[in-house]
Formats: sequence, C-alpha cells, structure tokens
Amino acid sequence: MKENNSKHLKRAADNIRILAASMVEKAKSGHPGGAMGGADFINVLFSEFLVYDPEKPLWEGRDRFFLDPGHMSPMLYSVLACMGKYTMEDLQNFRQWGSITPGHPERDVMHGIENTSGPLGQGHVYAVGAAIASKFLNARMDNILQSKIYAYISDGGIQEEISQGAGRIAGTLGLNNLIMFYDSNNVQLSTMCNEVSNEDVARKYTAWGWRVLTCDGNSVSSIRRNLKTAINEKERPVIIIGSTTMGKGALREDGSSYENCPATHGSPLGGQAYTNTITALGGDPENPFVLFDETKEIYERRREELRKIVAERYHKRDNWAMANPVKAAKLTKWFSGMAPQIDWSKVTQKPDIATRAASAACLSVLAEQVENMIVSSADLSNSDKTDGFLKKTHAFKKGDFSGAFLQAGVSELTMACLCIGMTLHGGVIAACGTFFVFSDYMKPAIRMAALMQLPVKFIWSHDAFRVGEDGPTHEPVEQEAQLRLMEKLHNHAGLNSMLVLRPADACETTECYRLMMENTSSPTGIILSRQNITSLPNTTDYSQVRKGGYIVSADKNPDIVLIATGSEVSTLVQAAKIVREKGRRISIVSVPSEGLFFNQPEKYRNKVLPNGVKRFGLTAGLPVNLVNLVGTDGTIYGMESFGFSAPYKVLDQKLGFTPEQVAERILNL
Amino acid sequence: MNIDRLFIIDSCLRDTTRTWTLQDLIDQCGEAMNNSKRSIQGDLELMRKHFDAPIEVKDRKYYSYSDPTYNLASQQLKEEEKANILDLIDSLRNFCRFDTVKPLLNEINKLSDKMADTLSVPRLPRQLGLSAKKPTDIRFWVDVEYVEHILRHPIHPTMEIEQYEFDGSANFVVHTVLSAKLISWAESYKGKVLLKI
Repeated sequence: MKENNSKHLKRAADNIRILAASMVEKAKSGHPGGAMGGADFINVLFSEFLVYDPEKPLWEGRDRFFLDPGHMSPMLYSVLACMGKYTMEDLQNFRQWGSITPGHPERDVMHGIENTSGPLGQGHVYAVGAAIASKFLNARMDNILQSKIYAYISDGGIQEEISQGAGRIAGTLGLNNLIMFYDSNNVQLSTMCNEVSNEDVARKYTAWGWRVLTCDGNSVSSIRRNLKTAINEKERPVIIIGSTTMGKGALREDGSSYENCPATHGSPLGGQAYTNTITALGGDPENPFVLFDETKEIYERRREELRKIVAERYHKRDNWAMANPVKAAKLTKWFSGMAPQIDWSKVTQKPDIATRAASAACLSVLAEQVENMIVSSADLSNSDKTDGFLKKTHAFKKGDFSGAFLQAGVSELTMACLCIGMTLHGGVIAACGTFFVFSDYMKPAIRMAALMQLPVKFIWSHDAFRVGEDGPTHEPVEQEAQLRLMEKLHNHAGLNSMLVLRPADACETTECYRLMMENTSSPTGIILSRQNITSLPNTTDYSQVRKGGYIVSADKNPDIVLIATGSEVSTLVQAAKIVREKGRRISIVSVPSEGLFFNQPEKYRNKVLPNGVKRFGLTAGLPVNLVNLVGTDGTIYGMESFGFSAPYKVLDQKLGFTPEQVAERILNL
Repeated sequence: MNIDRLFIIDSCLRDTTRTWTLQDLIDQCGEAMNNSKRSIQGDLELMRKHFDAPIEVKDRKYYSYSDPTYNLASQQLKEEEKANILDLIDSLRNFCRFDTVKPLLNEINKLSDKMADTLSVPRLPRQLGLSAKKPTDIRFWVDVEYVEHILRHPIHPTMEIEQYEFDGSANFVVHTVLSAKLISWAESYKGKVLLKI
C-alpha cells in the first residue's frame, strides 16, 4: 500500500463532502451531516485499505464493507463514485424513481453495495455474520480467503439493542477478521447523544472481548495508523472509535460554523448555507457534481495497486486450486449460490411424531450432505430440535470453526441478522431455529432478508397453543398471520417475498425441507409443532406439497371441503371419520404454503377448492389465516384470543379443538 | 425447404466472376425443379434468416454475398433444421411397419442415433407403430425468465401450466406427440426449458 499525500487526501474527502451535501440538496431530502463527518474515514479506507477487484465486483476473496447507518448513503455513493462504481449522473438522481442511488442503500454488489441498510443496528451484525462465514470457509479451505470484513456504525447503531448481541458474539468467537469503525459524532436526529446515553462504549466493547482503538475520525494519519493496527490484530475483533464532527466543513447562512448541529443530521443544508459550505470546501455551488483531479489521481493509483494485489491473490488461489482441485471445485460451487444436491431418500421419518422431530431427521441428513450449511439456535437447540444438525457436528468456538453450528445465545434478532450476514458473504447456507413465538423478535431481520431476496432458512418450533403448560407467553396465535403477510408481499422481482411452510405431518416436513433447500431466491420459514401429530393417511400424495396446497383425501363429489395447515390437518382427518359416518362426503385439503398455492393456475385451485361446495377451515392461529382459502361463504374456526397455560390435551378440549368438537361444528354447517 | 436449390444458389453467389439477377438464379436452378420467382425469393430469405447468409442486392437487381468467404456448407444447423432431419428419420422408421422395408429398421435406428449424436440432441425413443405417434401428456419445466414468453408463444394449442414453483418457474403440460421438433425446441432454450421424458 502506498500512502497518499495528506493534502490530496483531505481534498478528496472534501470532494466526498461536496458530493454528499449536493446530492441531498438536489434531492431536497436526506442526511448530509453524518456523511460529511465520515468522509475522512471512508476516503482513507477505500483509497488505501479496502481490497477488491476493480474488474470483478463479485470476486469471493474481496474485502467486504457493511454500512450500518443507511442514511449515510450519500457518503457511500460518493466514495463509490470516486472508485468509478457510480457516475455523476447517478449521484444527481439520488432518491429518485428508477435510480440506482435510492435513499437508503439497497444491496447491489455490482456497484459496491454489500447490504441493504437503514434500520439501525442490523448492518453491523451482517458484518459479524459475514466474518463468521469467512472463518467457516477458511477452516475448510486452508485459509485461502484473505478477506477482511469492515463495518461502519454510528451512534444510533451503538444504541440499538442488537449491538449487544453482535458485540457479545464477535468477542466470544474472537473474530479478528472484523474491523468496525464507530463514527462517534455525539449528534443524533433529535438530541445530542449525551442526553440519552452516558455509557463508556470503549469499556463495553472491551468487556465483550474486543480490541478497542480510539482515533480522531477526521484525521488522515490517525485513521491510517489505527487501520494498520486493526488489520494486524490476531485474536479479537477491533472497534475503532473515531471522534468525528457532524457536518464537518458545513457553514451557516451567515458564514459561521454549522458543525455539530442536529439540524444537519436529517435535512439539506439549504440556500446560502449550502452555497457557503460548498464554496468553503473548494467546490462550485453551480456545478458541484465533479471529481477533483486529486481525487481522480488517488483512486486511479489505488486501482493500479489493486490490480497487483488481486493478481497476487488470484495467483495464490490458482496454485492452491491446482494442489486441491476437489476443494477448489467445492468452493466455486458453494459461491455459485446454487441449491445443493441432496439425496432425500436418506431421510427416514417415523409415523405420528412431532414435526419438530421430523425437522431434526431432515437436519441430520443435511448435516451429512450439505457441507457448507451453518445452523444456529438461540439457546434452544434441544427444544427446537436443531440439535438434529448439531449432533452431526459441533459448535463454533474461538479459534475453531471446523464445526457448523452457531450457538447464538438468547438473541433471536442478532441470530437472524448473523444468518443474513453469512448469506450476504456467500459460500454458505445459513439456517436458524427458535420458538415460533419468538419470531416476533426476528421480524425486522426477516423483512430485510425478504427485501434483499436472501435464502436464509428460519426454523420455528412450538407453533401454536399446543405448546401447553408454558402458557400464552409462549403460545403463538397471531404469528402465522404475520408471516403469511410477508408471503403475500412481493419482492422487487415480482415474486412472493418469502416462502412460509407449515407442514401437517412428518412426511410433509420432509417435502417442505426439500422446498426450503431448493429455494435460493427468497427466505423460507418453516413452522413446526411441539406435540406429536398423527400422520396423514398413507394414501396421501406428498409430491403435491410443491403446489402449496393439495387434496389429502377426497370422497367423490364432496359436499364439504375441510381446509387447514399444520397439525390441524390431522385433526380434520380424524374429525372427517366422524362426519363421514353421518353420511357426508368430505374432501380434506392441506395448505402448507398459502402463497405458493395461490400462485398455482386457476384450474388447479378450482380442483382443490371447487366452487359451490361448502368450506370449513380450522386453524390454531387467527381465523384470518384461512380467510382467502375458505372465502366469505365458508366457516373458519380458529383462535380468537391469546392461549392459556394447561396441558395441551386440556387446551384442545377447552378451546374446542378435539376431533369430536370439530366434527360437530362441521356437521352443523 | 429445397436443400438442393439452396446449394445451387450458394454456388452461384460465391461465383464472383459474374453478376446474378433473380432470373439468372431461377435459370440456374432449372425449370425441371418447378421454380418460380417467389420460391427463389423465399430461398434467399431463408438463407439470410436461418443460415446467416450475407446476401445483398446491388442496383436493385444484382444478388451477391457481401462477405466473399461465406459458404453455406460450413454453416451451423439451427434447431429447426435439426428437428426436420430427425423428423425425417422418424418418418422412415415408421415406414418400417411395411414388411417390404421392415428389415431396414435396425439400420434406420442406428442412423437416428448417429444423427442425434452428431447434432448433439437427445436420441429419439425407439418406439415403432401407433404408440410412437399417439398423443400423450408431455411435461416440461420452464425457468421464470421464459415463462411469460412461452405463454405468449405456445408450442402447442393444448399447452397449459400445471404448477408454478416458488421461484416463479413453471411446469407445463402439452397433449401431443413427442417429436424431434419438440425436443429441439426445448433444447434451444439452453437448459431453461427441461423436458420431463
């Protein structure tokens, strides 16, 4: 690495400040202050330290930069423009319809955006996840990936509770490949930071096992010195706490300093203040969207350096690949993102078991067959049955990533974000498990995974009031409805943003796992029962699970169609016996994925749910779960309130979910 | 498509020692081949479209190749031509139901396989008789990228979607005869359309 002239670097940083402030000014909205404060760090990092292939943005060996405060997007877009990833026209279209510079960055690796960011806190946890993925791969691939994972966090991200989980995990696992810059400017949107927090951040991270460095975040030499130290750290993740000046270089309308002011956090500088600021920074307020000669020179020189650095790394990788062709082929395949080949015939399911146990059987086979899969659990592996996977491997620990299981501790949101980060890194398949009721903790991450179209696998057990004795705090009721909303929401590719599966018995669970593992373009959630479920009739055609909903069994010309998901299907099968004895002809329909079912051709849907035939739906969740399937003319029996604490068979009786009670309701239609 | 005529036209246009009007080309192809102005014009268009022939017209009447190195014989066959060849062999195979040519069946099967290998297309099933020509449900999977396109350009009037996958790809069914044309059509999508046979 060749160090740049400090004056030139300052000029380039001012260039970034000018571009960032001008983007916001032109868009008439955005956040200039933070971007101006962080310009010095981002400029040094990208012009002297970050390693990437200028020709191949997807190169798996690249360093990765994860931005946490997405509102600082003007800073990121500007430095990426210096690198040639964006044009001045792109910057001028900031926040406009159809532009590639949306208000908050949206994952676009080809343009250097590794992650979608905006909800504070999540972005830096993705970096922790990526650092774990890198360690995992290096443990299997002779440390061939030399990449560093950089995170950029602000005061808001530090305040978000999720930073606790990330700090704890990264420190515990000794992720020395992770370097996080904390842009500490003491100014937030509504107040100064010291009005809401007086904690000692340095000591907090030290306590979690991080190496803590402090620097002047607007000093080139200080930033550079600390980055060098951080890169050489062998044991711990590093946080560089950089004191920065919010709105660095900003001037008010009257020419006085506009620095350190909350007003610059979330709105354009405006009018004469903007003109004064751009002029003082050496720009032309009438023509601010230009790169200075010094900026061009610095980044062109870096491109030249990178070509040499990258060539050396490719050479090293090629030599390694020659000596290790099988591993090299595997690594290439893993980074392709293609679904793994799995021999599902190896999954043996016992009849009448809980679907969480059936899930364990699937995970056990995946542990044997999918070498690049990482499973995690939030301190529930022996209850959510992700231990089916764990029993075939072992958990990560500091210095040993030869296992494939992450014990995340009690931190569902952190765990979900770690899995997102692993997936963003690439080369691995990430799954995480916990109780379904705690999916509430994970919802912000699920939404981000869906938005980014990442195939993270969510495994939720203890799916309904049949959790039993633990009571309403642990009994999901409304959670399935919330997940089904995600399934209905389309992503930017026009497809369901998520695949949500609730299998009806052990064999359906295998089929749902097959779908989950084949899904490489969106997150999948699989919802499992705690209690045993009587298996569906042995005539059931489980291959139909792929259609989202299908006929489990049907009498000729049925006069009632019974509809359910999950364990309620089995209840319907038992109730149907009673109803049939009364001379009614029945069709039983299982709908593990409503979204997938409604994607099917109308002809098929009409075959499963024929018009003019009465419909009855049964759900242990809110009735709204089935309203689109049953229609307004049908009847749905579901939960109307929170659950209760009692043995689940008592709850079945008290809440009206025994086969006999359900049969009576059907007969009364 | 009259192959013989195409090669006569090709040999004419490669001969740059003279000029070629449409009437010259008709004359060269010969009256015995029942050629007309329209059929020769059709041949020229087919050569442009299917065999990338760089045919140009100068002064509104003289035909020539803009690329003097062009040679029809060295061109790659398009999927449709490959299908036509295999369909032809398939027809021959079906003639073998007549006792007089039945002894040739083995030879024709070998020819069929050899041709399929040469053209890098799947070998046709070796059924003979009605079963081979009886319409059946033929299923194929289509990548999400081509689902809309294939819906707009159905391969057969009976085509419909049986099932969508979660990624937007779809499983189609057509009720028709499994033909070389169908196989080649699927092959032309380079893995984005997969026949389930």
